[in-house]
Amino acid sequence: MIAVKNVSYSAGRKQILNNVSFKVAAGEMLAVIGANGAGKSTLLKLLCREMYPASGDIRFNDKDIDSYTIKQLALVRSVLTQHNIVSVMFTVKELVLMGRYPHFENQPLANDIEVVNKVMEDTGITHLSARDYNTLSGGEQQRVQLARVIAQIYDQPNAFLFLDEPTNGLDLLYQQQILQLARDMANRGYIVISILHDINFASRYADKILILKNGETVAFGAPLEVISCENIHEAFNIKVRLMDCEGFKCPLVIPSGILV
Amino acid sequence: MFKNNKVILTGLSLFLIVVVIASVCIGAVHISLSQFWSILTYYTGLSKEMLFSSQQTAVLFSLRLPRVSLGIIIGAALAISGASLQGLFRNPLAEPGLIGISSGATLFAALMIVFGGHLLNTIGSIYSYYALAIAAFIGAFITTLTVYRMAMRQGKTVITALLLTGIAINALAFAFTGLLTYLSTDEQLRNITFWSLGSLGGASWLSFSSVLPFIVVPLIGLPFMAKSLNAIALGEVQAGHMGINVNRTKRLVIVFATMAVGASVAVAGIISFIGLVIPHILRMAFGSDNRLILPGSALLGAAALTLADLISRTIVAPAELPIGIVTALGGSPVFIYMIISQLKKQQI
Repeated sequence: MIAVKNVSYSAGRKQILNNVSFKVAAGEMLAVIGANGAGKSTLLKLLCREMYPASGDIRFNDKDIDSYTIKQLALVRSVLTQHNIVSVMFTVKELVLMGRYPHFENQPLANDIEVVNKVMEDTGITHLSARDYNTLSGGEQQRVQLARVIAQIYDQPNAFLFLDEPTNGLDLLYQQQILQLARDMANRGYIVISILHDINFASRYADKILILKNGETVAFGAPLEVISCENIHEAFNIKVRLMDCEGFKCPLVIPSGILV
Repeated sequence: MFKNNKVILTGLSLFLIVVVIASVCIGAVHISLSQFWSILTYYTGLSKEMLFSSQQTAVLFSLRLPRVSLGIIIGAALAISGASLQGLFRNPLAEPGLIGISSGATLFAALMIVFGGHLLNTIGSIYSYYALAIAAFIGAFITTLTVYRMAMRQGKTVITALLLTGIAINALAFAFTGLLTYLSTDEQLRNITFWSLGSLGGASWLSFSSVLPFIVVPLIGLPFMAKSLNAIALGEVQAGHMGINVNRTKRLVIVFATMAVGASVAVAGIISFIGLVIPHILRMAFGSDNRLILPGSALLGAAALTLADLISRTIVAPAELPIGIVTALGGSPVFIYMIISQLKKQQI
């Protein structure tokens, strides 16, 4: 379980996050949405312990995040950041194996190799195994990176997967593949927290949605509760229409203009 | 993959052994393979037969072996520190000579010779080697920190800043070393000139044993950094997410690499391109996994420098070519090729 309580963060005089609180239970996927500069990335960085909150606390499985060592933290959460540039040539398999680094000292164990093979199978990249990562397309690269972070926590119970705009720059097929893989992880009992830009994808794949604006919580709850014209107006400064659509659990959000 | 690495490392070790045997046998006093074998078996007590002359053993033990041994450890030191610095800077162009680390070491060694001359004379020869090695290490360390601070922005190497800082430091160190030559005596001048040219000509068991500890420690320590350096190739933040203690890795790599470079500079002067070309050749052939590249660079670097030294002392015999000429002739074309291929990928 992840419990975030009254977390605030400021950079200089600028308040980036103000009293944000939420809880996510095992098996749930949380989507964080909001306009640019709403504090989404900052929130994720605090969750990754890349930065420390000015006040409030973050608890992973009832333990304060600060009480984890770097290595323990790597065994309980893995992170897919934006902009993954690999400076030298690595094969896909070597890259996915890096996800297992917290699990072995210098040589991978049989279990690590097994996990790598399974994850590559699950994410559909087995056929790319011997390819140079830098020669892959954007969508393939993103799947490889996702495979790496899944491999990191694949055999860890009660672990978390954090994704920072994982669908950025991908076509619609790859976007859905990536989100489906994230959804599958939640179905297997992991907590998934993902920053997303597409509200419709957020409500389709996530169990809960957190809407941020200028560092404050606009709404937090199940998609049906939080996706409303008012909330979207407030968070994004845009006019929207909601449209019910057969087969979707939540109405679709259609942008219809700029608020003046 | 693991077995594969073992095969490659075994192959490189065999190559090193062949080069070493060739290097101890070839020279002004020629030793044939069967004579070499006879010396080996005689001195290990396996055979009582002496099929060699005493002149040959004298040359072998007091001239060739120390020189070859020094070549081995310095080649290994330069290549492995080049490889690990490239991992740390996330760029294949980070080479001790190119980014100013070697000249920083030279400057401090020169300062030691000129201003610490009295100290060096009083403490005796083995300690004076230590003192030089430590001075060179401090110079290398300070330059590395400076270059790192100036070239890294948010965990990324700004390659123009890296190379320009290297140029600036090289120029500065060159100017100061030049100034020092005016303050130095003839003997000091000879020593300083020797540093800027690079040579294994000063090899003796004394110089070998005095730098050995400064090189053995990094040679053992750096391969343990391989996994962390692999992770850093994905970015420092990402490596942190993978449970790598990035700051500790940085500190250790910089200390180990500068220790090795400083020690090499202290006994052999600036030998360029080994740290650049050797890791690059291995990466082209076998990929970038540092768990292979770091130990592989040590082995191939040792073999390459031994070979370069063999060429430098035989090709214009009885005269001797500075080894820097040989490594530059072999290395610059590879360097130019690397620049072209980086330009194609637009990473400069």
